[in-house]
Amino acid sequence: MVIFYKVIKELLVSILILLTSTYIMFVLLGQFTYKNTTQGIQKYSFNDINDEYFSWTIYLITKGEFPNQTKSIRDVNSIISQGFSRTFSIVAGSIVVISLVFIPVGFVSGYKKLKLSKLFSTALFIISSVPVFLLSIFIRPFWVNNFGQIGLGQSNDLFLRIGYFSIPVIILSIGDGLGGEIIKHVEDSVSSIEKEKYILAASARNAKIIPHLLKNSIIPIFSILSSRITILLGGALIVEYIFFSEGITKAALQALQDKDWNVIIAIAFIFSVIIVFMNFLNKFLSIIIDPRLRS
Amino acid sequence: MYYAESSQPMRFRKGFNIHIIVGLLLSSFFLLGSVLGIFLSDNLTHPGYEHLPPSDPVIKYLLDRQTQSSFQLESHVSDKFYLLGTDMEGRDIFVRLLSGSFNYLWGGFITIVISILLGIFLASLKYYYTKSQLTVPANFIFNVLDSFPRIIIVIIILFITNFSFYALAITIGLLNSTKVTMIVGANIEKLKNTQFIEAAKELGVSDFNIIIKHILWYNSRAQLIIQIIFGFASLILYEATLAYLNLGAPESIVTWGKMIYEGIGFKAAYLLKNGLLWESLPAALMIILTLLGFNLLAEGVAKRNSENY
Amino acid sequence: MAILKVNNLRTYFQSPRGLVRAVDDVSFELCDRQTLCLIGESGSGKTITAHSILGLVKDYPGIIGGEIWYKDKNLLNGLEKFCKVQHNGNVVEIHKDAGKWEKQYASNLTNIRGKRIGIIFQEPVSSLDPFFKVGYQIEESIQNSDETIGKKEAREIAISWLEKVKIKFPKQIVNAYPHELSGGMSQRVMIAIALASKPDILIADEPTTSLDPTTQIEILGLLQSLQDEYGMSIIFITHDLSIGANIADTIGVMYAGRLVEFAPRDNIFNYNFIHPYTEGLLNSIVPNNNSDNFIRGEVPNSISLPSGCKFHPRCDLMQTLNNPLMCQESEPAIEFAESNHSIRCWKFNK
Repeated sequence: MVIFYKVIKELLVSILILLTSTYIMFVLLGQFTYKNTTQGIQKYSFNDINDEYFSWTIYLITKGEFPNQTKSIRDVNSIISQGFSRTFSIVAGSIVVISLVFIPVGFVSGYKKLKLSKLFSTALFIISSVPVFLLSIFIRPFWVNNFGQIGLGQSNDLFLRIGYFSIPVIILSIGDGLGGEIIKHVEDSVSSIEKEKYILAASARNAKIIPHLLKNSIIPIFSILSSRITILLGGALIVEYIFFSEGITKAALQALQDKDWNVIIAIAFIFSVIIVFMNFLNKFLSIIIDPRLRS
Repeated sequence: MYYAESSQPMRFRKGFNIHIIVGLLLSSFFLLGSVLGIFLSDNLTHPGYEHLPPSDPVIKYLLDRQTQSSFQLESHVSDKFYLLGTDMEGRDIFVRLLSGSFNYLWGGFITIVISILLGIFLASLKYYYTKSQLTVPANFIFNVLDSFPRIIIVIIILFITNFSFYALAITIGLLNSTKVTMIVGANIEKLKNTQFIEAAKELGVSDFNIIIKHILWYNSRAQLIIQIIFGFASLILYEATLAYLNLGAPESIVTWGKMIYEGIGFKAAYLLKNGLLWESLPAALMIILTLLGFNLLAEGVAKRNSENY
Repeated sequence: MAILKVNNLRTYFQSPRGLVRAVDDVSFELCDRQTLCLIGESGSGKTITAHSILGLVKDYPGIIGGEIWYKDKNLLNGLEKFCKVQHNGNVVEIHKDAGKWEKQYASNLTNIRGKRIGIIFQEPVSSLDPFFKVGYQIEESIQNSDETIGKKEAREIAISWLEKVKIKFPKQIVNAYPHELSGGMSQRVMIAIALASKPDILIADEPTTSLDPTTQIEILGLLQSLQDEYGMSIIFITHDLSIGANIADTIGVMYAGRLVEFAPRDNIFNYNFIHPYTEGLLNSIVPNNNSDNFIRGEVPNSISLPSGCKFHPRCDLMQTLNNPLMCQESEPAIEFAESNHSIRCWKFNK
């Protein structure tokens, strides 16, 4: 029962944080865009920002879709629904790559200290210090020549589709320092847990150590993943820009050039939701799994 | 595997392992440029132009040659030697690299000062003074800062401040302060209940002294150094990425990201085929080597500090 | 009847500052249904000895020589081919293939570790995994002793063991987490875990050091009653000689990685032929008229040990010898002063 109350409290705090960060973004946007009123183009005053914020939030909560506040040619919701699946698939793909490749390699590297996995993690560390945009620029000619004819990803050849999709995903999951940090963090957590006394005691009674290691290291591993999600989203911006993918981050860049208020705030809100959700999930996981936080 | 004991066991002098050495080597250009850049300070507004006065026919000559990249070691009319050649507008690439690193140094300095000060402040309120009135607001500010979508906020602020480089540095400092808070907070929590801190409190050492001197300086110096390195690296990363998207610093400030952008930007026809052209390559290489050097340096400091060594 | 016989065990560690001879040429034996007390200050190598017997030493190079006989089986059998050691005066050359050595040792230890030899540790709360219920950890040990036992049956056995170690409300404790238990209770849980397979030998590595004195006495009493009930032999490691007075049949004294004395309990407490270090330890617990009964000097650094006899800088007995320089130059071997009393000192050697 105590768990339930704690989780609800964390949820409420997360919602509050989301609302506050949205408000701050409204304030920032109000500084650089201008309002079309009947008297002509004017700067946003503080009251205007508050009004816009409240009406936007209430519209979002009641109708479940983003409002089109200022008159603009494009409809926010259609842009988002068009591009969301692309961006989501790229981001989800890189999270899958990270969880299925980097984290196990880091785990094995920290526990069994195999030479092969250490080599892999060193190589990954070196490659990951290259920024995403440089990696993309270097790889893009190769990608365009081999897989680029597909266009928006419609092709019957499975190999072409896999190649078309997987190269941006791999670049996204390695670059900007992400891959190296994650694998190093996982290695460090696992090897520091292995030195603990209860692992020694467990091996003294011939118990299987892997369940102990897993359960103790889930929380540190997930916390590094959830705190690096902002870098992942930032890298998605570049990857979409360079690999011609029509996702919402590309639309956001376009909207920032055009100063299209609706789209910017909607996409920024979506990103904030993702980040706040990952942070909430992190705390939720630690409450559920760690018995010491329950009392 | 061979082990021997003699009266003096052979190993590296404690303090330098292979990571630190390679890391320092790779980021040495950055450090070199930052030092030399002090002497270039009167030419910061138009770096490289000091060798080519505006009316020099060499510029015209270079501008006419639109389709070729200009890596040439031959000296031009003014019989200056260009180490890495010049770019399309006739500016010396090497000097621009140096001046770029000098700008990164100052920007990075602002970033780390802000992130560390704010980080220590928030961490003390959150973990040390856990019952004070300011704890809840500090917690809240920390969570809000942590949940911003960074790249969008940075771009918005760049638009507001008209792409000022130092505004970028300040923003990145603010956004990185959450990481510093978490690290400093972990250290404070680990050491808060130890007996020597209790003893220090009993002896009347002030809280400020305890946090800064005992907890941070004596016990978590290595992690702070790693955060400082990380601050420089993230400034370079963000700045280069944004400059590639044409959101970089204005004319008067030279950065490596801008050099990449200018090298590619005018050659849209070559973009698909070649990817990267000579004007951008030195800057790109410089970014890669410096970031790699910083990462290795951070890893070396962490390894030296851990008990595994 | 010796149920465990350790001969010339050596366990060394490589550290950045030099070679640490944690266990250096230690030999002792444990008789059936007897209690051996290993006594020594911190850093004298007692814990490493216990870990070496069970193969829990992970650092490099670890065990490099010796024999450990359990009943009639040498646990370090067949390992010489992976590890070659040469002593050239002060320099030791070790060639060891750690991977293969570990594998062979682990296969030698099957059916022994956790089943015939059990171990309990110094800080019981941190020796239990905080993320798993206490009952689960007992069940791990039960299922190790006999793989055919199912989940439900294991749970019943776990509850019965908690009753045997005299925990009140065992059904609640089975579902508890380690951080909810007090020190004494978690030590009882550890004893239950170690005894779940009814081992022949129990190694107790300073189990009462972190507990308060009343709980200490309870745990000691519990151990002794369980020893009588199940016919175990106990190796009790401690730095407190008064515990040895209470429960030991044989006492082994360790100093700087060496075993300096191995004698029946009565010999020690009657001051028969004892090593000067042991004498110093005895004097510091037995109330005397002199208030300055302490051993002068400090425990030596494990890396830079004194030459010759390791104890000679702190020894008052040196002056009574005919040739005191011998203590500085060469190390005495461990020899029998009486039939079952061996000692490592030039005074008592022939």
